[in-house]
Amino acid sequence: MCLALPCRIVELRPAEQALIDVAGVGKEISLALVEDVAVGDYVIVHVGYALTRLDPEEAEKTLALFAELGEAARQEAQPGRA
Amino acid sequence: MEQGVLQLTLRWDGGHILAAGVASTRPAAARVLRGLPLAQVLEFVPRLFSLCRCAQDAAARLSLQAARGQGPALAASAAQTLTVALEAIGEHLWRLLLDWPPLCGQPSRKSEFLLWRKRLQGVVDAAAATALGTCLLDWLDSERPPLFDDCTTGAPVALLPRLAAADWGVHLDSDVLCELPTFAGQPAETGALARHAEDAQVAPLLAFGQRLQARLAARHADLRWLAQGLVQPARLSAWLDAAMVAEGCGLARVETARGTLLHRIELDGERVASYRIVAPTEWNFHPRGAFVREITGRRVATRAEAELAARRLALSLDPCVSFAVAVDDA
Repeated sequence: MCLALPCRIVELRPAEQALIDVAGVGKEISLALVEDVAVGDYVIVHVGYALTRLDPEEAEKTLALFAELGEAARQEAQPGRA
Repeated sequence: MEQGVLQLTLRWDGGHILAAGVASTRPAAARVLRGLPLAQVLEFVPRLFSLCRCAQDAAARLSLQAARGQGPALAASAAQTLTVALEAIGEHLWRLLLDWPPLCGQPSRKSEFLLWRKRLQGVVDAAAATALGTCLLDWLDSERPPLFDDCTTGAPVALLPRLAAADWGVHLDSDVLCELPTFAGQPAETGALARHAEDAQVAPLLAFGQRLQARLAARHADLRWLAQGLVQPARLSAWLDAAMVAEGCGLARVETARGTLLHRIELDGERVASYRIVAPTEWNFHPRGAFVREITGRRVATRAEAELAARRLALSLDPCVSFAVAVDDA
């Protein structure tokens, strides 16, 4: 399933491209599908395209949710858990 | 937590693809909904998913309503159905205009896609939906799916039957099924082909074993069906439904561009006792599913040809996450 992980725009590049930060790793994506994106904005990315721009508050909430879910998944994966 | 990738690995002996494997790093998001208060589920689900956000949201709401016993066989609201249909249309157009042209040696049709995306986003009421549906039908009259001279060897996997939510209950009785779904014990294919296998443009291609071409024809048929649904919204009611399948347990079925999406929620008072999601990609990229079955045994002369064949087949089966293809020497 396509998880909607918010990614932060690190750098704007020519030809509607931008560099995003994915868990500490830089990745180039296309901004062709979104308008008015600035450095520091969060976007939802799918196969190399930014799909939607999120306002920072929304993005923080979603990131916190993913962190919570990631933690829950890790706990679930631990052997011997009741 | 990361988005995940589908890793497709082929074993190639210089003449044939001998075997294929599918490995997924996608997290099982549904499991972490377990134990949550119900109100939080409806907030979380649309936040978790990107491409199929409207379909996931509708499935969560409908399954929860069904679990609470709000009607024995629930119908979605007209507005809910419209957003799910518009989302599916957008997904089909993405594949047709952005992803298929480069795999056919043609430039991507990005500007056309951007135009359609704007039109889809501009649909605010039934009148706008009708206008868009008419426009899409006109456009489809002049569009043809790309042509491939493909031919499957061996028996393909069965097509997933079109069941109502109420009939899915008995087939969704374990957590294992969410990650490795089977129907009657066998892998099955979901998606446009399963929905349109009997169509006049699709059936002859299937009969001749042109499975990939049949999928592309079925995608066009699906898009046409959805466009007609925008013009006559009553038709779209077949696209999603929900039912209570046991006491305190609701199941929703929502069709998406990629195939059937199922949500099953079991309540424990005001909390989630268990939550299961079966997404289309799990069917089509099952380790014994359509991708593996159809790529195995394929005659390909070069490594590049093997990779291209895998990319085309994978795209025809429409995974919801990025995929990578690796060709190993046998």
